[in-house]
Amino acid sequence: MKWMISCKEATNFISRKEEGKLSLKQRMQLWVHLGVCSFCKLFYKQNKIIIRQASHLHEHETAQLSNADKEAIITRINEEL
Amino acid sequence: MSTQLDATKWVNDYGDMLYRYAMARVNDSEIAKDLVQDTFLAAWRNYDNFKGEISEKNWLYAILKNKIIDHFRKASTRLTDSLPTVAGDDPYFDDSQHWTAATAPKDWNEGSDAPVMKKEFYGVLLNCKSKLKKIQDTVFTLKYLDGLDSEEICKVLNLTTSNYWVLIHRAKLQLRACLEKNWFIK
Repeated sequence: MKWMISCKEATNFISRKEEGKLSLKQRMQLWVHLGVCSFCKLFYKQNKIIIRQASHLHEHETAQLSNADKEAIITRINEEL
Repeated sequence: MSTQLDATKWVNDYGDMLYRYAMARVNDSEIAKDLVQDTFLAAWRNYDNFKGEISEKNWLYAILKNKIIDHFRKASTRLTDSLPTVAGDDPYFDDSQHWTAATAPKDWNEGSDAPVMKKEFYGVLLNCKSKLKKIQDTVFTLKYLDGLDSEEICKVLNLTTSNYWVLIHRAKLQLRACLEKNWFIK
């Protein structure tokens, strides 16, 4: 049984793990790798930060519709009446 | 159709909220405006079906979310022209598939002052996201902003499973590197 996986495989496994798509062997391979590879351990941690913040992105979006844009939409809706 | 509905009030109350939701996902003001208008029109036409089981706001969000997925579905034929080759070059890893000296993650020191909580962080994240290839950005958006799983995303965008995993992997590697360079370690 091959225990050591590459960093490329390990980072890939991290994404698959989010969907529960790792076999028992792959989970063990990932944990062995993360135990010895500080870079992938950082990736693992940072990946969590990124995906947590991504789900909040629109709450921090500051774009606004202009008054003209709003008027155009209101006019369009009223045409439906 | 209910005549008590007031289009002006609706657009003023919910227009910007929906526009921001769309902008964070499609990152194109014209497309976002069209999606918002289509959402209001669909809601207006179907208001009789609105049962009030969820709030009006969440009902509008749900309609918009479907419109956005439809938009990505229609755009996918164009997007998938630039699919990566599965075994293609990968600038993040060396020949033995380990991090290169230049691409290896650095410690972000995201400690007690939690830089990720700062408002400006989201601007950097949006900017980094907009630098992804369109198809990578779309896959990342559907997965992490809209919460679809890989099977659903493959169906919407007509992707093979192996293409999906290459795209999501590259999107994350690039986003991580961009955030590190522009936010965490300046």
